[in-house]
Amino acid sequence: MGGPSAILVDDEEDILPEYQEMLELEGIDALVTSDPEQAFHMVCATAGIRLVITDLRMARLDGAGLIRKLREALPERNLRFIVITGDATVVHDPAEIGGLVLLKPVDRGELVQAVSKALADAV
Amino acid sequence: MMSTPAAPDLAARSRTSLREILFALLVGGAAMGLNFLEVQLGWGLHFIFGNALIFAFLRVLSPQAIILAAGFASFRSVMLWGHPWAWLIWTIEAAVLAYATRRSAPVRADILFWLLLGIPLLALTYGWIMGMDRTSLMLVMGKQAVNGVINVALGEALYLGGLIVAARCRRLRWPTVSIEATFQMFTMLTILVPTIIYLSNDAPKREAAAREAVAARLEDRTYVASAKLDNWRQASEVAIRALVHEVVETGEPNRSTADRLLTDFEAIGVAGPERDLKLLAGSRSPDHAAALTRASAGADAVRGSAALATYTDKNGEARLILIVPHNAGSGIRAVALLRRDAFARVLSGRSHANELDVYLIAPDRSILRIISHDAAVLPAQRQLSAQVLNEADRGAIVVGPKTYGNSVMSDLKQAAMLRAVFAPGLPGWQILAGASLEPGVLRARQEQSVMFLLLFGLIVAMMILSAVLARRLEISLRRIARAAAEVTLAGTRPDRVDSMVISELNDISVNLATADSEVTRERSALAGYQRRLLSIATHAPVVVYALGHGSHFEGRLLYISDSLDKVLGYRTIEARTIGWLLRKIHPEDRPRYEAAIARLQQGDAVELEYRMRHRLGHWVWIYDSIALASDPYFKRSEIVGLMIDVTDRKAAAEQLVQADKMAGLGQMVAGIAHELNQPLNFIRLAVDNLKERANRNMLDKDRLVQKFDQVSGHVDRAAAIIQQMRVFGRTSTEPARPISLIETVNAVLIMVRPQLLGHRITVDSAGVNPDHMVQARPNLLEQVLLNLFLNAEHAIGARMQEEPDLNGQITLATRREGQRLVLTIDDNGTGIPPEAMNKLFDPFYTTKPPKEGMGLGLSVSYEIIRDLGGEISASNHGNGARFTIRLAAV
Repeated sequence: MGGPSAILVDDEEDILPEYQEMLELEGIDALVTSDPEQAFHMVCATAGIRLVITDLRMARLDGAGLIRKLREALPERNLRFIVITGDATVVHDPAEIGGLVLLKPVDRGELVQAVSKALADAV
Repeated sequence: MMSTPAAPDLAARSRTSLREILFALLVGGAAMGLNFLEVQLGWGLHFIFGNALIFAFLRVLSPQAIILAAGFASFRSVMLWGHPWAWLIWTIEAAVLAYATRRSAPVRADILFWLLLGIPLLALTYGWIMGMDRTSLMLVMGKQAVNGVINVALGEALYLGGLIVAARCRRLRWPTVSIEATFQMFTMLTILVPTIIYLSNDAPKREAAAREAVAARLEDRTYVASAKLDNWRQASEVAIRALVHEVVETGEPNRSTADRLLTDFEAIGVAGPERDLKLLAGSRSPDHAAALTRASAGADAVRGSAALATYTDKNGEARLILIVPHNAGSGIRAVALLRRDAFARVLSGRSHANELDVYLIAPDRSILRIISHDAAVLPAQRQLSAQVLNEADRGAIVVGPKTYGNSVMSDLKQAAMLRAVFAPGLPGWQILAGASLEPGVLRARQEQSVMFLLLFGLIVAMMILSAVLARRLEISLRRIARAAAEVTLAGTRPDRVDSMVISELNDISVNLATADSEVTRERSALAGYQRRLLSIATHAPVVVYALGHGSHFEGRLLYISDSLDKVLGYRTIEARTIGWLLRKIHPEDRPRYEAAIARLQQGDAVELEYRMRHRLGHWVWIYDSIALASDPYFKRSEIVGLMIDVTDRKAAAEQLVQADKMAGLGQMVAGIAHELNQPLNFIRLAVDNLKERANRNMLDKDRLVQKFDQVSGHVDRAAAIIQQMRVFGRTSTEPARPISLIETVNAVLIMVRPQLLGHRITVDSAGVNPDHMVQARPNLLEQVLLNLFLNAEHAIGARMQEEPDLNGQITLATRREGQRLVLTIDDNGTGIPPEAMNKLFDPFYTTKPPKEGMGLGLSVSYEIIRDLGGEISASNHGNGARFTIRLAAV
């Protein structure tokens, strides 16, 4: 496979290298960005991307908005979504969000498993 | 009008100064001058008024000065009358009055003086020493006493007039006049002034009438005497000529003619031209012959008509000789010695009663008594001047043995009236009739003395009456005054005062009784109010106090209610030490209390809360409403405070603050959890990655160290978040201190910014000046800001429901406004609805749906800012709400 297959969005810039390192260690080529708008454009521009991992609460465009926007913009792409949120006090309905919901601090094994499963499903 | 205030004035003047002596002499001199203005009472009697001027100064001059003035004024009488008695008695009168005026009404004192001292002294001096007759003495007594009383009454009137003038000019403080003195002055003047006026009109008329009556009698007498004398002379001349004729014709006198002549003549002779005397009839004594010879020799001047000659016989008695010339040119003349009583017989009237004295005045003005009485009008040796005789010839005149200057308080009864006529046919001779004025004077004096004694009796009676009346009046007035005092003091029912004499006093008494019942009613009502107020002051959990302000009462507790014990455990007596209140106020709150008092203006009321130490040691929160009130009665101002124990309310408020914090925490918890999860997430990922690399032997040291630094940084970040949550801790009692507004804003933003960002709300705090500092308790101010942020978030969130694309914006700015700093927090939310504006800061008021807020935030914020001495207010700025906080700048 050539090119990145996943993108990770979190407006917390510090965390991005860690996410990238973790995905690389698992052999997953992923793009990272702190800007959801940029993430939208990157997904549209990169056809190989099948998985979008996103934070939920972000300043300009939140995770749910990004997911909704991508679904509307790219209905033909079988995009999978994983949401990682620090908002522990709210019970998130995966169906509503349209993807798997993981809580911060995220468990590495859980995340890797979810990513692997999502990429496999999306093939 | 009581005379008591006079006492100190007189006492102060009791030492006579040189100035006073000079003034006394001046008054005495003026009085002496005034004595010349006398009122004639007839028959040498006068009233003099000089002493009235002196008596006008009885109350204002020292006794010594009064005596000096009186002695000086009347000293002239000693010179005038040749005796010091009147002067002495007047001076004693002045002395008695000068000393008696301090205790008694002057008029009464004067009347008593005359009764007890003046009249006895007159009796002693005038009567016994000078030997004045009883009638005159009575008159003198009555007149002197009345004159004295008039002078005192006039003096009183002068003084009263002066007092009325002096009352207008407040500088002069003259002693007032008693009721009795006023009464007596009016009474005496009313009795005496008309009497004097009447007397001064009437007495001279009566005197003149009496004189005219005497003069008329004298006129009659001289007329009759001169006619009788003329008849007798003509008859005697004819008889003597006839006798001489017979002697010339017959050489012998006719017996019967001679006998008839000898009834009037003692010896008759005839002298020829050679002056050889030949006795014709009667005595043949050589003395008589010699006298007749001298008379015939000295009769050269006699030409043609008869003449009289005088001769003094061996007994020293003046005798008369009638010289009758015979035929003109013959040189023969007859001389006849008159018998001693010849003229008396010729000239005497029919009755001897009311007989007037008759004299013959020789050409040499020697006086021959013809008819006279025991008290002869003219003593034998007395010579009358030609002038007197000339005047008497023109009409009756008054001659007196003594005249004393212009004041003829003399024995006028010794005065007499004289009338002279020229004897017809006897050139150079005059018939003089004299009448003593004594009977008229005595009669007038008797009438006058009766009148004066009656007058003095009336004066005494009126004095007694007015003294009694004044005494009654004084008693009534004193009782009324006491009753009035009782009404104002105790409100006890005064005895009803019946004056019985003066109707107005009865009216006053009735009015007083009415006033008393009114006062009693008012007083019992007042007592009721006072009882209720006292009950409130004692039992209500409110302490009322009054603190001296200004002057030497500064800081002194003038009053503090008994409820102090209830509220703070102290007895009021303990609180009465200077500075007690300040000492018991919490040291942190003391400056605020002092500042509040220093700022206090008249009429202001300031409310503040502070802690005070309870007697048992704990702190009590006091709400105090203080106001500056002036006490017009004591002319000082005081601070009146009303303390209420608000410890419970304070505790409740603190609980509210706490509840608000918890509510805030509830709203924040999601955000905080989210925020904490970020570093946790990083730490976990980093650790997991390191672990994975370690497992794969891909771990190099540099990466490891870098990772650990990053992890450590994120632990710090998490700790910082938790650190900022101290606002939710229970450390709200930390003291106020100067804090930077920007630091406070940043501390709050750390907590709320993530949550706000999550709701797409950005915060702009660029307008907060980093130099702006305020005095505040940091966590309480943070709580307020937190509340305002949460409030703004809610308002923006509500607006986002309508406008999903809205970007939330909160803008903070500070500015300086005089001594205060103003912090504004603007949002672009829904703004404050008008109906909410008034109750925005009420507790439990909220526009948020249930569960989202308890509605405590703004109310608690309001309380917090007020406790910090600031203000918080809300308004709309057009695109959302604006909250404004004003705090004292540091």
